[in-house]
Amino acid sequence: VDEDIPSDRAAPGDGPPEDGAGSQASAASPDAEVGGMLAEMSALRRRVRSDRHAYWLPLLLFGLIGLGSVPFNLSNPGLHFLGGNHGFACTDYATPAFPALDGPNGCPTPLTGLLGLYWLLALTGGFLVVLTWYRAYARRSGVTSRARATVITGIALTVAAVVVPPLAQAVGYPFELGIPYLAFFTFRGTYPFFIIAVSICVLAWAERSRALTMIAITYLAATMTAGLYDVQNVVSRLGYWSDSQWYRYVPNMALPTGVLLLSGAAVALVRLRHRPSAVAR
Amino acid sequence: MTSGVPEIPAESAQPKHPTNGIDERVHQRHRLGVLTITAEAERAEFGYLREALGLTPGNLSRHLAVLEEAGLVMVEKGYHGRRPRTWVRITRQGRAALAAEMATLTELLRQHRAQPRATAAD
Repeated sequence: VDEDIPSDRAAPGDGPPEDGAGSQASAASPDAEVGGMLAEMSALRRRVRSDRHAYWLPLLLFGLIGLGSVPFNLSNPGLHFLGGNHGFACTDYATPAFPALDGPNGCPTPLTGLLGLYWLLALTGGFLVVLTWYRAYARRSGVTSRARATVITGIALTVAAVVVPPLAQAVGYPFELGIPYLAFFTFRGTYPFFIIAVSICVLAWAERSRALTMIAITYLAATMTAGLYDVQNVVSRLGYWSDSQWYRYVPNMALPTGVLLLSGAAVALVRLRHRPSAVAR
Repeated sequence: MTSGVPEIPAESAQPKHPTNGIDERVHQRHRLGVLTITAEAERAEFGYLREALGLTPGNLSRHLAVLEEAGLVMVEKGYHGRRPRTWVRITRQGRAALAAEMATLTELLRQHRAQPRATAAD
């Protein structure tokens, strides 16, 4: 059950205009009066919650951003989707510009060398789009969410991913700072998905949505699985493709990205069918 | 030492009736509605409150004035393009007052519902 769909659109002030305490006078029993008041407040709370939910766009947006990272994760030989083997030679990126955002090791192509830059621009741009979206949505609906917290979290983690590695290396630490298992995320190039996952968890808190909380937990689990577990090897062992193929890293990207795209599309569809009155005005 | 006169229990020892804790500024359907809406959103627009509570602009303004004077909400005026917009935000005091009112109402309801059973048991 998605709590986005209001089951009750009761407006407590539907009665005649009142002048202050007048609305408290009622012929109903105190039990019914108090119970009715509590039910009205509960219905109001559900209505406001439904009216301010606008999280389908961040889900779809970050799903598309994840999808956009796939070409950067293809390894040589051959970018077949461009029409054949272009014969890129392995390029030596000994010191990647953004080690926490860059892709997995292997045989990098000119595109894979730009993966870190892609994530930096896509994440920063994505979070700014989310901020703009929520501001515009608040003006339209009349109620605002605490989406700023999501944007601050996302941008802070992105900036940390860019700033911390060179600083750590400058003082002689490994760039993962010895944080347990963090190396798995950077090794497989899934750390950016982790940034998105944490931000969506913060968004679930800001939106106070059970549906989004479930999506955030599922996405976080998918990201952890892709980062900590060798999804590409599992898929390879199942016989779907060889681990040596040029798209061998795609399963790592596909798992979290698929969760976001599917859930975002489902939420958008439900939203389209049950448009809140505050937005439809 | 006892005097033989039965002791009158101190007032504080008696169970307090839930209505003793009612704040008259909050215990009003529409003002409670304003607090409920603004507690659920970061802030709510005047037009949204008016429509959700089914109030006239004048009525809503009067309720907001009461709540603002009590420090339970903050009213922010601004513009969106050339259109003036008024936003209402709940304060920390407002959240506390809302929580207290909801607790009082829930307790009142619980006591009312428990009463017939207690009477029947006698």
